[in-house]
Amino acid sequence: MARPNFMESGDGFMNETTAPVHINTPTEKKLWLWTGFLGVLLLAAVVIFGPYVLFIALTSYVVALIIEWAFAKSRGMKIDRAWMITPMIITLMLPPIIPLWIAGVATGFGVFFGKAIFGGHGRTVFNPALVGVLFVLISFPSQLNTQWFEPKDHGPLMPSTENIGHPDFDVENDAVSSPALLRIPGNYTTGDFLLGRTAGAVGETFMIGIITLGIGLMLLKVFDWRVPLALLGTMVVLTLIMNLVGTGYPSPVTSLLVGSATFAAFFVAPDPVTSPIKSWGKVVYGIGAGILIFLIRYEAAAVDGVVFGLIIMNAITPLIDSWFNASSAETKTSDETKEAT
Amino acid sequence: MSWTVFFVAIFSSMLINNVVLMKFLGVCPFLGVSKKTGSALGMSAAVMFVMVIAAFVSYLLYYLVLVPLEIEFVQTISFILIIASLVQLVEMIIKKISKKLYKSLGVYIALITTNCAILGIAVENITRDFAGQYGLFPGLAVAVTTAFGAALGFGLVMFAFSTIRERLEGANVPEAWKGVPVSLITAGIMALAFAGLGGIVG
Repeated sequence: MARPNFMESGDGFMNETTAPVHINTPTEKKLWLWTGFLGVLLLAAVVIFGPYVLFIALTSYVVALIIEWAFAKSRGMKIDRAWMITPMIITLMLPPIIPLWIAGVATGFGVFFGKAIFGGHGRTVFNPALVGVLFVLISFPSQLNTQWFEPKDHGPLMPSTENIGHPDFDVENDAVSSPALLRIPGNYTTGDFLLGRTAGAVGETFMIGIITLGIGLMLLKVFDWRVPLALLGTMVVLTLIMNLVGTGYPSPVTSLLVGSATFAAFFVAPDPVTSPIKSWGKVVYGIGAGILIFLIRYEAAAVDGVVFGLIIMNAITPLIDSWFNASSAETKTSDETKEAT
Repeated sequence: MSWTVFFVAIFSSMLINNVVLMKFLGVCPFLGVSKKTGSALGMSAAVMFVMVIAAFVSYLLYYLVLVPLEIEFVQTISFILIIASLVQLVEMIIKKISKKLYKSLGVYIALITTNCAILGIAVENITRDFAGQYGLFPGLAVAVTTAFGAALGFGLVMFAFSTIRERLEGANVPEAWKGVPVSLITAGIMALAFAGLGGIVG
């Protein structure tokens, strides 16, 4: 770690200037494009996993809108203009047979603690959707890690006839758990992966869609290409090395096809609010996220590293920004004060 | 004993068993001095200095004085004495070197005396029985390395947290959540994410 000499850096810390916010928000049009492209993935998930995923999305949106409305009302502000993106990402990152109340808890926690109390979109430190998913991942590990299902064997699930808000699915006998899927992916062909006929979260299996839509978003300049490239590139390089020196790792391509790494790399990690501003900062952020996802997924006790890795990288994003002098406004303020005194 | 032991000791005490986020020790300076990056780094440097020396001295004191005399039960109070006198030393050194740093750290230098992270690491070095595992003096090296890694982890988290707080200062945080509440929520989310690193080594 580059550790600046604390005696030299002692110059700036006495002044009481308010550090400015880094507001780095996408325009409303970009937000709608982002949500719309994710909506396509949701529709694909309806075909793959069945209409139950629509109930998950509905629950998420209802909870999110209630909290956004309550905050807007109590603070006398307009409803946050990025209300549509968080519940969509949360829906796409949960298992397709998740109980609806867990989807509600994830959205509630994410929107309340990840977004609203930080002052809404553009001010968040962590991606609110990731905060929500992280919370349920830690709180309800059995539902989040062991209750996945094979669309190949069971086909799209219909809502159960007795209880419309539940999938017609026998969790006890037919569910598969995800650690096995990530380490030794079953007898899937590449075609299964591309068409999304694999076990996984709602939005993370349909690889053709994820890759084309992700590249589309980059061509439309909604996101920067550096974060996904650095993240996925790091994972490929690391799995390649580990395949040479060790055993028990999937091939580099398979490591991208399983789990939510590719989905998150294209649609969550490059979120301009919670990723660094400068280009090189983005590269460092992507590489760091790739290393953490790899380490946590294959070496740690946790199942998939995407949520943990990205939240840790979100936490050090302001640090990366300050390394690359990206919080230019801040440096300017303290320089001015120094000249004034 | 190979070199990997030291690597594992640094890595695990820095990130996986991070003092602040996983053991919840040293939260007082973590919240108190993290408003400005400069003071956060100063505090981390002071903590690192005290933590490494405290680990060194307390380890020797325990195995060379307390164990032969069979008075291990005074461990806590003797460690606190050592840390308190070390803090006085650091305070004098900082006062001599940088008046500004001294002013800005203010009461927190004295608070290192009661910084549970330092006592925590000193005590944990004993309870993890490095001496039994590696022998008396190699164990000392591991103990000091662990303390160094823990201090690095403390510094890293302090530094990252202070940059987050500088960013939060201008954010439009609701009145009720301004200041410490939103910082605690941030720290909590960071701790949740660090839980994911559990089990990587050791």
